[in-house]
Amino acid sequence: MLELILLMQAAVADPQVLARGEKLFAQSCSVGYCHGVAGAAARGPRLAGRTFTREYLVEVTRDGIPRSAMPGWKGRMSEADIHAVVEYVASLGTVTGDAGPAAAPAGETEDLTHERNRFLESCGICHAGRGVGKAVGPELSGRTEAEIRAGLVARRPALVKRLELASGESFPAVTGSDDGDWVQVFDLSVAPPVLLTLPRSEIRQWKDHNEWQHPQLAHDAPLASIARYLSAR
Amino acid sequence: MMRAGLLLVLAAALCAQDGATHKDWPHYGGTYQFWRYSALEQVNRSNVKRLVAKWSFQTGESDEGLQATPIVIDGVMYISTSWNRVFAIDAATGREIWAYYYQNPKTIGVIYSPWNRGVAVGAGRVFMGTLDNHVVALDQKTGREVWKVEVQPLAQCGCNITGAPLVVKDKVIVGVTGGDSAHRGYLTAYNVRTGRLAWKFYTIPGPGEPGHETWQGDSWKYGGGATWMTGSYDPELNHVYWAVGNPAADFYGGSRKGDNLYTDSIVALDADTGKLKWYHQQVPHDVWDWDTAYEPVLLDLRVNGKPRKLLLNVNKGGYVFVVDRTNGEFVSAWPLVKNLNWITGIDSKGNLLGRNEPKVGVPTTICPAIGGGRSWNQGAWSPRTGLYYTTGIEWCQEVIAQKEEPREGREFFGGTFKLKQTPDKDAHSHLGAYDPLTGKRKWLYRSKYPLLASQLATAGDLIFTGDPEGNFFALDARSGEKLWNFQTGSGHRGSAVSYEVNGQQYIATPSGWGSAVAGLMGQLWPEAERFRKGSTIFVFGLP
Ligand code: HEC
Repeated sequence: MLELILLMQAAVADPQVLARGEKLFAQSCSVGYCHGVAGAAARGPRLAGRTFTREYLVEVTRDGIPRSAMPGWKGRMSEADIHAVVEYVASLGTVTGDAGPAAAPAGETEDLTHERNRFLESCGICHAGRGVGKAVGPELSGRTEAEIRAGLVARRPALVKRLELASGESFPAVTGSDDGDWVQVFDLSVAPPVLLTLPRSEIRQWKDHNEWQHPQLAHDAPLASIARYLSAR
Repeated sequence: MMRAGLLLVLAAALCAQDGATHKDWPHYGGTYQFWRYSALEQVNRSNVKRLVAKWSFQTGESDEGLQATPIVIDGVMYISTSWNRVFAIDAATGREIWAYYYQNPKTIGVIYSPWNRGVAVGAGRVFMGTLDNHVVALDQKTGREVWKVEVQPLAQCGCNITGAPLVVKDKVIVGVTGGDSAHRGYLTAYNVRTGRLAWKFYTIPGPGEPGHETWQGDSWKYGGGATWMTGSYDPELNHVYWAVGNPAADFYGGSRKGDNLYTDSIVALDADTGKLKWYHQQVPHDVWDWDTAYEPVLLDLRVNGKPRKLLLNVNKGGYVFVVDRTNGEFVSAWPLVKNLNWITGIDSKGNLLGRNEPKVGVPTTICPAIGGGRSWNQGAWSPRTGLYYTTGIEWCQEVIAQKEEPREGREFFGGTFKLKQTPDKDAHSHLGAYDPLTGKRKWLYRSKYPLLASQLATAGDLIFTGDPEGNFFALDARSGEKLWNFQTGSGHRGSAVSYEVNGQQYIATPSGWGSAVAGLMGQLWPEAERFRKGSTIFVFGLP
């Protein structure tokens, strides 16, 4: 049985796919201190000369290994590139348990990494959107450019209040979790917001804060790009 | 040699600079001067043989070992581990006082993880940078989180925090990784009490700023310049000194023509504003990954009879640079390792001579290897002997540069490397005692494997350090003779410290094998793949 399986992996991957995989591996996997040139090992484990199932290689490459330094490449590499890397790693050692190289997946989705990053740096420090960012203000997934432009200049905030501490100090803030004795609040005095954990006794009162406005960095952001990211399907 | 040493002591005394620690080990580098030197002398050359283990503490988190430096204040030790655990421990007994486990996301997705190299303590708080690029402040007494702030979204910058912060007055200063990613480096400072951002210094000048012209096109946006280790501080000059890492892409410089300021530089910043006071670039247009990332050591010494305020720094490429810390003026440079071929030398002004650069698509042998002529583990300075103690690694590599487009926040190496033997087939490591200005060597201790733990110097004229095989040992600071050895069961990658509680001097060391460079070792020493992990603090004292 084992011999049979070993024989089966003789099927060879497309040389073009392998070449692409080799290049990607050099760029993203052998780099620095990770898997080493051609999987020769560095601080990441050696990959050359090892035996894996192809399913396992795909799974680990796409999703990473939780609680380890191995990242998931889904979303950071296209499906076709993940496929090429897997074929390349497979070629460095032995693959068991399937009938040979899988076909390259078809149907790429649009790469919005650049737009996502613009969202993260200008808005994501206070907003979640499409699974990334920090939820201080409202979730922004699906918003159009007109909606976010309107939201950026809106007055009379609903969430932001002026928090007055027992010490007399006060600042714009949004409430976070509250477990009775300890209260979490986001201090919005400067960007990025600071998550404070305060004993309840330190909180004197919450007041309306009609003057609160988005920080300048949000107004300066490339809103069209950001909207494209937020409203993409 | 001895006489020269005594003269240096005098020079130090004249300037009344005390970089020694006493009862406490208050900062990452011992003191702001980063001497890693303890004035305690209860344990000394004549009695070190009697040193015994007093207690040990298991952190329970051995992923990539234990790389931190304990901080000790008023009999309490604070230590951090991989995946951002923090412990406060009774420094006399090893009893846990509190523990804090930071909630990291399941995967971090950047290569600079999962280790942490230490906390900073000040203003009643314990500060730590996290793997997901936040800074947290904990209550020093209880370990409860007081504030938390995101430095920059991890997914965007591909950077995070593994180095120890530095507390200066009312601010906590934090460096970030990201030097091998398409990322623009910076240093940030937060108010210790509120967590509010106080200043941000970009290590790569933006459009309109001086130095911007040293970057080609858009390369400044992706040029690296990480601040991944910890700096030092001169209270008199109010300068914070920080070492800025390599430019990205590491091995391919064709799309970032120019000097690439302030990568591979020491920068001096105004501690209150973060404004640049001066810089000294060690490696203009680096194409070897020769970070200037390591500790800036502040020394007051006589140069040609004249007392000067100096800064000593070991570059990853294996050269030691000494500059004037009032203005950044070059003073001297000397090689730490024998196997060094990326330049043929350095002239009297600090210019590099005879550059040997990696070529695109063609293997070039470069010595030392990427792990460095020395790694980030720190050396020590003893004002008693007038000697600087540090490790060096003799090894080489084959580098192939490749042209690469930057992908924001992702790996950006511009090539690959493979470790190689030295030309004389004698890859090894050493710990030496050097004149800090000239590099004149007093003694050399040889090690089979790369020495990757920091040195601790004490007024007992001892040098403590550990090796990859688990030995923690003491050398005679004057002769290099090994006087004592203890097997801790796992290799050493952290930094030993010394402190005193109730009249007893303690020597504490992290033990726990791991790290990026430790992983690389397998390419030259295959048996190193099997070195056992661990994560324990061992503490020693006289019976
Ligand atoms: C410093 C934190 C911060 C930053 C940065 C920030 N926001 Fe906001 N934003 C908030 C808060 C808080 C609110 C909620 C205000 C309220 O109603 O109290 C908000 C509200 C909004 C709203 C209104 C949402 C609604 O449902 O009412 C929109 C739209 C919005 N922000 C878009 C953006 C965009 C786009 C960016 C980036 C260009 C951005 N914000 C950056 C904090 C921030």
